Amino acid sequence: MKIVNWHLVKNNLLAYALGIIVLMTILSLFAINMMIRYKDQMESMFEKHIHLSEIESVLASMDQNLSGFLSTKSSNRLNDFLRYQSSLNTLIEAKPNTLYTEEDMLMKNIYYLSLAYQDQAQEAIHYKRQRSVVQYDGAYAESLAIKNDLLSYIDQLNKKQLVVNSMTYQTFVHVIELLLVITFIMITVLILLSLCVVYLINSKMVKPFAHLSHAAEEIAKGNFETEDVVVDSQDEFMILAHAFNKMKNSISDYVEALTLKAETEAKLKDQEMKNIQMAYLLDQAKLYALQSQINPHFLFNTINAGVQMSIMERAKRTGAFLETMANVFRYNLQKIDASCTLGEEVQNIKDYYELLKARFGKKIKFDFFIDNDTLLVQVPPLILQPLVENAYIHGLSDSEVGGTITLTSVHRHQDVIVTIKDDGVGMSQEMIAKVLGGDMDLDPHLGIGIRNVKDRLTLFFHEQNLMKIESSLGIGTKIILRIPEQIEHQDGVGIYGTDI
Amino acid sequence: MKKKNIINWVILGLSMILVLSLSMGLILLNTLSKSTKLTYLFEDQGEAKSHIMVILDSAYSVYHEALLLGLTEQAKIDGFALEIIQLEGANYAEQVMATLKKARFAQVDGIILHAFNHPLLAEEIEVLHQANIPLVTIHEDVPGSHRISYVGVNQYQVGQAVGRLFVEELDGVGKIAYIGKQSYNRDLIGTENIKVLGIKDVFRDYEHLEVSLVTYTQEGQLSAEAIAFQIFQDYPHINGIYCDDGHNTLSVIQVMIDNNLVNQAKVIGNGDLEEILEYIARGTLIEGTTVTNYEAIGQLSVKALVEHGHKGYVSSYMDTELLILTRDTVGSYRIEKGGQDENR
Repeated sequence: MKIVNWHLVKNNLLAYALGIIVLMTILSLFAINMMIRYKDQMESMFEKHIHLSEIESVLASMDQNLSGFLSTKSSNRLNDFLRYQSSLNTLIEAKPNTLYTEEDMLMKNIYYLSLAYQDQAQEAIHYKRQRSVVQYDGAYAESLAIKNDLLSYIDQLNKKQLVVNSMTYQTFVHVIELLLVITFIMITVLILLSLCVVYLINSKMVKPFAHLSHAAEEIAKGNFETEDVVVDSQDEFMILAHAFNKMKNSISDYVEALTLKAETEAKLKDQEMKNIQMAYLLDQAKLYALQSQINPHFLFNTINAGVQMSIMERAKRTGAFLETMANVFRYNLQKIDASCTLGEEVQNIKDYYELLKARFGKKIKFDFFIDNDTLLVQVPPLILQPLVENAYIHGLSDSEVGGTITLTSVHRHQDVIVTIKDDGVGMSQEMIAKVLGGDMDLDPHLGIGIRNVKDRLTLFFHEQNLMKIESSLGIGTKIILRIPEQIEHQDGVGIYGTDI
Repeated sequence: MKKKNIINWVILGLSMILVLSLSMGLILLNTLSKSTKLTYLFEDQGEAKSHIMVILDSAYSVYHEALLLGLTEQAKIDGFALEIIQLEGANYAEQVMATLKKARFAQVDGIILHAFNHPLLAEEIEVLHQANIPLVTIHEDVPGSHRISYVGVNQYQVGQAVGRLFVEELDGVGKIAYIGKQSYNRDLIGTENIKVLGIKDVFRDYEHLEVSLVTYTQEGQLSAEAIAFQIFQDYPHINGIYCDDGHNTLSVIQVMIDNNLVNQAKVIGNGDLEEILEYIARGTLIEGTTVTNYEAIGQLSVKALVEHGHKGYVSSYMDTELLILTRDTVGSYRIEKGGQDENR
């Protein structure tokens, strides 16, 4: 059997409506009952008066017609008399059998006297027909006496009824007044009860609504951390609050998940962009390297042939030159996306220097100030050669006296600072900005080389500001690389460091 | 929460008021139906078995309170509905005849009549007898008629008691005047008052005592005063007066007082009016009075009809107690009467 939950607003409203209907029905029935009894009482009060008046009227008519018949022997009079006689019999109806009140006693007298009157009247009519004047006169006189007695009794009964009705009326009025007051009280109480119940139901509904709307406003502002709406009542509002809280928490979780997803996607995208950029840069570097490269196998075979020829011709310096060149070419042909040590880079520069020395003699001088502790630092390959080449090509190559390229590597705090310095023509600040900014109008070798190294460093170490250029026109240029401290090796690259 | 508790208490209170109001309203509605004030014949609102018409002479209304008390009390016990008719006016006899006819036509179950001895009345009683309507006479009998019973004191014995009292008071010497209440055309009939016969019966043994004058008052109290004054003026030898009516007794006394005739005559009255008892107690003016127990008459009248209804017959005479109050007995009578009045 389903147990009715009286806490539900639906059931509350239903009970309230039914209660009001029932109470209003009771009140209406009460009022109707009152009116019916009022009507019945009024009817009973005047019923007898009306009845007696009718008897009186009929008697008067009977006497009139009787005397008229006795005087004129008119058949119309007789017919009228008989008609009224019939009416009288209808009015007096049945013989009164009960004798409880004085009114009963008087009605009994009226009944029998009515019969006696009719008997005497009939006797008078009978004697009239027989033309017995004395007899019908006597009978008429008798009937008249009886009629007077009848009227006397009717009068007595009317007076008694009037007295009774007066007393009844006073009581009646008093009772009706009390009933009216009671009805008024009941209506007032009913209105007050309704207001109280409506207030209770309303307050029961308003509070949860207020909480819910407040919470909804907070959520609309984006505040998903607002407290759950708590509704203690075991009704629809509790269900609504639960659903609302669930919705709020779901949305909050969903937004969180979306945020996380967006962040992850952004990170992935960023990484992808970086990868694309790296690939591009690598492609560029490859391309750049390829531009400077020929078929490695043919190259190294050719160089080996040359080394063999130099050995056969006892040209040691030529052989050494060719081996140095092979080293440089070999180093340049390594996988560009792998990592290497700083020491390998420095060695490559030394080999490169040997090549330059063979071409330019003492015109171009290299100085190396390398801290041995820094040699094992992992770096992307070919980050120093492009910078040295740039220093040579753009800084010193146009100078008739040549210059010095200095390569230093020191520890500073957690990082390794590598510096490539030349005392060549220098660059303007504008040029520096263009180089670092990736201006496409620049000389591709200048721009791409330095920028390539810068970008690869950034991609390798996932940090910004790893390259700095200091230059003054006519004095020289210094490129400073900051190699971050290597704590975790992710593709052989340290991830911590400080800004330059 | 506090507000909610208050509201709940208010709702409870209002509900109780509503229920109370509704209950009171329903009770009052019920009262409404019963607000008709019917004049029930009996207090227990029971049904009457018979309808009895009581015909009285309002000239004797001084006794009617006790008479009606006896009638109504006994009627309640026996379940009789009483229709009391008190006829007024000088033509009591004519009105009685008309009322008896009315009673016959109304087919009453019995009649109690303040009667007078007259052939016409006897005829009407016969007609009623033919119509099976029993009739009981009080005050005066109608001998030879078909009345079922006479209830009252023996008038002859009343006369004898009065005679004896006069003998005592007048020491066997005197002339008595009898002042009677109305006559119902007695003069025309010529029958002698039975009371007077009783007095004369006693006076037979006393040659110096006689009834000198028998007279009757007409309607109205002043009639007795006029007669008394005439008696004192025209009959100075009269030294004893008997009035068979209480008010007439007091009227005679008043004449004596007004005309300084206090010791002129010994007065014997009728009834137990307080003024009469007072005069008797003081020992002045009134020597004694004859008292009829009208309450007993009322009771016995109804009982006579009951007995007749049950058995078909009843005793022809139902005597009630006759009291002669003198100075010696009036005190105790007054005390007893006072106690009876309080109990009522």
